[in-house]
Amino acid sequence: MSSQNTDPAAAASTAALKGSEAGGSAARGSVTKRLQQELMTLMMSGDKGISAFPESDNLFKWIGTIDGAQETVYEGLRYKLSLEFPSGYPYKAPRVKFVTPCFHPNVDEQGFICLDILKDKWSALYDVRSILLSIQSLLGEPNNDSPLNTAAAELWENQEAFKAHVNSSFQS
Amino acid sequence: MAFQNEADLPPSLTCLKNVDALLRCPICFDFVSIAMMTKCSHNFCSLCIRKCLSFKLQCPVCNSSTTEQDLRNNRILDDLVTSFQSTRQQLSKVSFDSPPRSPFTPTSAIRCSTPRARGPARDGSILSHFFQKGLKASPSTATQHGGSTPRVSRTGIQTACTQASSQTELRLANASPGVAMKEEPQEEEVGFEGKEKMEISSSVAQAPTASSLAAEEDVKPVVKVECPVCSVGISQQMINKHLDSCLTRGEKKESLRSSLVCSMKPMGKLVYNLLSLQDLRRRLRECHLSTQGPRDQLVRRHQEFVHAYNAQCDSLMPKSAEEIAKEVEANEKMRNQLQGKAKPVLVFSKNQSEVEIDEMHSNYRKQHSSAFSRLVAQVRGRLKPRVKQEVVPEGDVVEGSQCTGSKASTEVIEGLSIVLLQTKSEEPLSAAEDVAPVSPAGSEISISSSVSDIIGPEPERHVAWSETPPVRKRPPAFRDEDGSPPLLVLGKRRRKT
Repeated sequence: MSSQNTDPAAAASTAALKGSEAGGSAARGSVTKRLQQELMTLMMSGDKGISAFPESDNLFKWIGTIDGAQETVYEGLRYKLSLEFPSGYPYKAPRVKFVTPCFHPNVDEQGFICLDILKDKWSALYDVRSILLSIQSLLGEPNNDSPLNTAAAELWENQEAFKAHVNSSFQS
Repeated sequence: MAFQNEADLPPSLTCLKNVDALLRCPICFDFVSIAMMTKCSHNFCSLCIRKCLSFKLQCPVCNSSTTEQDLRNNRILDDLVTSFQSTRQQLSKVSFDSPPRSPFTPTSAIRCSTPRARGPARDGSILSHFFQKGLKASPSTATQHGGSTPRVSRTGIQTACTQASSQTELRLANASPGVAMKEEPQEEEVGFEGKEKMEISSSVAQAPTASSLAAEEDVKPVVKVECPVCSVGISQQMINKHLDSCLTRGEKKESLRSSLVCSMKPMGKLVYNLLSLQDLRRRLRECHLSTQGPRDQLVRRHQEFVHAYNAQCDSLMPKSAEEIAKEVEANEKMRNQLQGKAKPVLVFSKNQSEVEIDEMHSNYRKQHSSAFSRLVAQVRGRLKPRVKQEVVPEGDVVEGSQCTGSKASTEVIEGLSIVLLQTKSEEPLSAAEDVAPVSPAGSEISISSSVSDIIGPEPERHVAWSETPPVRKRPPAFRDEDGSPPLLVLGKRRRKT
């Protein structure tokens, strides 16, 4: 199923080979092109507290950072995440996980995130920016009804202790 | 060309940004091609939304349930996109002509455009272009442009139009000036005329009673017309006789009656699991596709074809099945090539510590630190001739010597370097103050300035980096990310040798 999507780079380069009529065939679901656009908008928008950039020469693997929002227990902490884009992107959600260990009710020890928009609520409209912003707000507003990390969910009630634990266990 | 299109508008035209954004498909972020509207009035490229619906039967914008049957064409959006694209190109041409950051931009733009407005220059200024458009749009002045033939044929069309009640045809005829606008001013008359001819043929076909009117068109004997039934080029005088014989052939009538505008019928979805391999091969053959490869590859190929084909069915001028098949196969080939050569530049093993990995990264960065500045210089050099030639085909921008396989990676480079250049032009001021904290060891000023440009919007972050020891390694890390274009270049070169 994942392969239904035309490979972006492929589409783009065929267009290049053909000499390419402007725009026309370019809209053939090209993933690289979309990722480039996302990168551009992300950098131009200058959102505070989030950033992302391709990890190396592979445009399908990015590293992102999220700063804990103010007035949350994560304030002042910066978390690194990895984003992997499947070939079915944007029809399929990217695989996002925390690289920096994160003590949070909806994040497990391996860094996997339980977030609806990364699973069944994914829509092709979401981009890296909206993902990172969603995760940022998830940090401050966990869904304690379906915790991945039950210890964190129980401790959440006690914000003071939670903050102390987060800060003591934080390793950048 | 793609990037010339993609590249953001020059600073002087930021006012058009909203229009630009509105005309883009939210899925592929490109200009909408073959716009389709959902029940909930959201617009997408035909191909994008069809692919999307193959994953999930929901509108990606509002999550309300949607099926492919609910999709409707939104042709005005298509027209808007084409006209906006040409306008945009001309506008950016004009602003390219003027020095980019000169304080006298308005005056110089005027200076550039006025001489062109007078003569029939190739790349006419916007003003003159719009003026011409106005002329063309009004039928009463059509004579000024096309000599006698177009006038005759125009009356022919208009009569045909009134006879044929078909709304689409009216639309076609009305749209023709807009379509013709895409050509350059000089060729416009030719293009205009050609377009009219095509319309004549279609109007003839749709309303055979109009053939008597069409008989007037024997003014220009040389012109060949495409027969609307069998698509063979026929001299204009002969077209009626040919049409008669063509139409009497029984099997053609059927295809004519279905609808001239869209003779292709969308293909149904297949349940591939229930198909035998032979059946699958037969279907692929029917679609002009290759039957080579393992089963899942065949399935994927067929699925891709169905998506592309159904998307083309929504177009007014659909590509032929053969063309689509060719594209699908070319894409597949390209994808296989890409997968084959995708090899990581740095290889890490599981049991390496983070420090070791960081060290490998920094070594790599040191080795290739000059590559990035070289790349920036290269792009700058390329940008200059591009400004002069105005329209450089994409292949030229990318150096011609590159083998096709590496094209994709060059695209990435191009994209990134354009990103760099753009951030640069957007924030020429903040650049200066940010240079200090990030300047990487032993590299040239061009690197540091472009790096700082990228992270320019968030200066407070630099402060954080330089203050706290644990995060101090971030700036070089960012530089590494930033340096990915050179990694690419090097990787590619290595591959070539």
